[in-house]
Amino acid sequence: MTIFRIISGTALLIFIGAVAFDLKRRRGSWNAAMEYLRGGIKSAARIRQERRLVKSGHTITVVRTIVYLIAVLSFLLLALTGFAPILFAGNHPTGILLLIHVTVAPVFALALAAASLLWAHSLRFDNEDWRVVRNGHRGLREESIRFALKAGFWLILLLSLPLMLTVILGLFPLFGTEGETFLIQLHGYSALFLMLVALFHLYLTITYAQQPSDQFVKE
Amino acid sequence: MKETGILLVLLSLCTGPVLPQTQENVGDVADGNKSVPVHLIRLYDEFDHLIRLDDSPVMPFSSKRTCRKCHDYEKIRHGWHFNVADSSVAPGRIGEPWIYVDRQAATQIPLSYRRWKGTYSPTAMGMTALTYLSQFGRHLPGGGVGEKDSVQELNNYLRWQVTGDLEINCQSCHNADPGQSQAEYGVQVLRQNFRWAATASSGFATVQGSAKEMPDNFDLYSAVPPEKSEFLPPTVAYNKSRFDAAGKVLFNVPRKMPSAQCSFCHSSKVIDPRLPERWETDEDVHIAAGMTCVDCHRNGLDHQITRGYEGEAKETGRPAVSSLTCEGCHMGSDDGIPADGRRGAPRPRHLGIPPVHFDRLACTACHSGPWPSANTMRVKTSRAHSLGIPKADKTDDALPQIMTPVFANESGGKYAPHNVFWPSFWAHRKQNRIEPLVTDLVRPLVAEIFAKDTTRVMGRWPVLSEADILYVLRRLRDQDSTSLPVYIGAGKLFNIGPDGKLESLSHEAATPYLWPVAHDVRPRAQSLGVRGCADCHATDAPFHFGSVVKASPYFVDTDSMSRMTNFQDKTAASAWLFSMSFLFRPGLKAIIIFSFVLIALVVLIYTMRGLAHIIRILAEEV
Repeated sequence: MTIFRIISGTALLIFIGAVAFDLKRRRGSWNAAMEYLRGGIKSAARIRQERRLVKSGHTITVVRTIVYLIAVLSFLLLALTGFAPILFAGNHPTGILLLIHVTVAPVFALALAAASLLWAHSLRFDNEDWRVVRNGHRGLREESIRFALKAGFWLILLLSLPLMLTVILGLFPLFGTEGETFLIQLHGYSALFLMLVALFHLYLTITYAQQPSDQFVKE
Repeated sequence: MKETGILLVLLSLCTGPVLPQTQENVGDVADGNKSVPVHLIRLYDEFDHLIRLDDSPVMPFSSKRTCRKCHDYEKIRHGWHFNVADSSVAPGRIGEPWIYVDRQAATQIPLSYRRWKGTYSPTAMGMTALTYLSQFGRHLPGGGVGEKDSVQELNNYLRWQVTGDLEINCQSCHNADPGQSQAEYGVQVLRQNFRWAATASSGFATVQGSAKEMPDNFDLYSAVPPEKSEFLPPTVAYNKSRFDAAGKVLFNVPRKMPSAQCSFCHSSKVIDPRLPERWETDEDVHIAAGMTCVDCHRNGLDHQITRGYEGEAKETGRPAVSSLTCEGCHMGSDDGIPADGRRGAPRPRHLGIPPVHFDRLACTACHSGPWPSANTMRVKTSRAHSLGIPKADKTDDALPQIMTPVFANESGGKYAPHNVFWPSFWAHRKQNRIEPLVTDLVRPLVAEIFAKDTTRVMGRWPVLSEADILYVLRRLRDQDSTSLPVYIGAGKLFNIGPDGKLESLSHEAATPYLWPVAHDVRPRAQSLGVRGCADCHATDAPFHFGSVVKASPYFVDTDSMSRMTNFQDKTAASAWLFSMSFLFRPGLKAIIIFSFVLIALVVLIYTMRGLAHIIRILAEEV
């Protein structure tokens, strides 16, 4: 628990630091960076952008919006109830926090499953992404961001698999104490990586959402 | 200078050879031979005189004098069973107190010389060491208060000369002779035959008479009571056939004591309406497997017996103790030499049990005590209910009324089964301090109430109404107007309010006294949780939602029950909410499995498509 606490705390601090410095680098000063971030959050960028960009019918737009909203909210709630007791008290979540965690988890799982169906095709990798992979960052800024968003999406889906599998296996009488402990550790590390990727994805979405491009998602 | 040298030589000749202080007695040094030493020994009385059958009067033998020929009595007498009155000894984990019961005074109060929270010193109830032993010595192995001069008050000096010291009765634990009778020992102690008690219990001597009935000037050697000739003075008659030609007696002292030796003082009987007969109940699974108490509760010469609770090793500074806890034997530790599996202890697998349970629950929570029911049950213990003593009250509702099992948080925060009882006593309140009143002061006042109303049935308790309590409190106030008389009962403190009416308050002194229980351990198949989460996490599971009966003379229907969660670090609402979530857990499981399969399929499909695409690109480039 102590090691996991240190690793997750350090990872979060590094992430926050990296985001802060990235914003400062691009906006020039701390104040401007804060202002920019505030504006980005206020615009609820991704959802609005989705609404703007999706060319399909009204119903699917609403469904996508709802699914995205539920996924983000349940993710934040899970991250909070899962990591807060570990980071601040050094304990696994228990009591009411655990209750919230286990109640929200299926909602997140369902939302993520729905998201995989709704976005998998539009966020599939293509030849442009292949070029980014081959050429790196040089002269392909928009493509790189788009590639990063796609990679984030697929990483989230991938990491959700061990995250859910460790819970499923732990709920059946298959593993002893050592096995259960290992499953919980695996659950924790999967959750940590998923959280970092998801936060990175959110950051990219919020930061670049106001750009006048419509190339992040294609149909 | 020469004279000084001669003087020193003479002095050394007078004092004899100086022995090294670390010399150990012959019986205390193990040479590694695993056979059992034969204890064919001579007996000595309390004055260190050899017992001869033709002595007149023949004296009871002294365990202290007899056993110390080969064993270090001084070291042994500081052991856990004997150091109760030693204020320098750390009290350790809270344990079962002595419960002073005075039915006519509506009193049951926890007493202990150890400083366990919630207990009162026997002196607070006006008890001297002599009266303490007369009351509770029946289930003590002697020593401690029984032979500590500092607690033997001067005004009882002559009485102590009559009774003698209650020395450590080594045979209480170490004599496996079938004739060894701890019950007889208890009877002799109740008769204040302290110096005769060990002899009487040995199985090869008979003691008659009662020191309690002898006057303070009773002469041990004349053996004739000067005034009260209608009572027999204490006398001992040995079974001569047990003495060999050299005047030695054979003691059956096995290396490992049978559990029956411990059981006399450490038995308990749960009054379980589901299992009313003794044949319907089972013994501790360890005992059933052929183990004995001392397999786990071990000690060295110092008699610091291992109590076996978690944290004891740290508290006592004896790391080896940690391997004799439940976890130590069954799970082992990663430090040093592997110690798990001691005595063939199986390693539990705990399949499917989330590890948080092991952070929040003591092993005993699931494995020990009676299977919980909707209401707690009464339990009778050797020490509280004089079990094993002839003529002890054998009825199921005998006082004091102790309830079990109560799943409360231990000091370390883990849930463990406890015994609980609700202190009931009269006291003076000085500032916020509660000083119990001697029951002699109160008994007549309670009796007055019953004398006035002959239609009332006393029963086990004198059931007191608010008016009765108020009456007694007023009378106590009249007797001593300088302090505030109060009554503690049913988890409340009662006093006379400013308006002259009975006032009920919460107070620390009124909180129930709990102590953890570890036995009897049930078999694995009868552990809590064996049928699934609902054993503890159902919305009506006794673990959180059982009712704890508040046994008290002050009996009010609405207050007679307490919730189990009142003893836990969670509220009834949060426990209920948490338990409610288990109703939906199968559904939640299904949702997660469904989501997992769906996402896995999506990932698999697009991975395959991506792979196919990469293969195509590579093929085109080639």
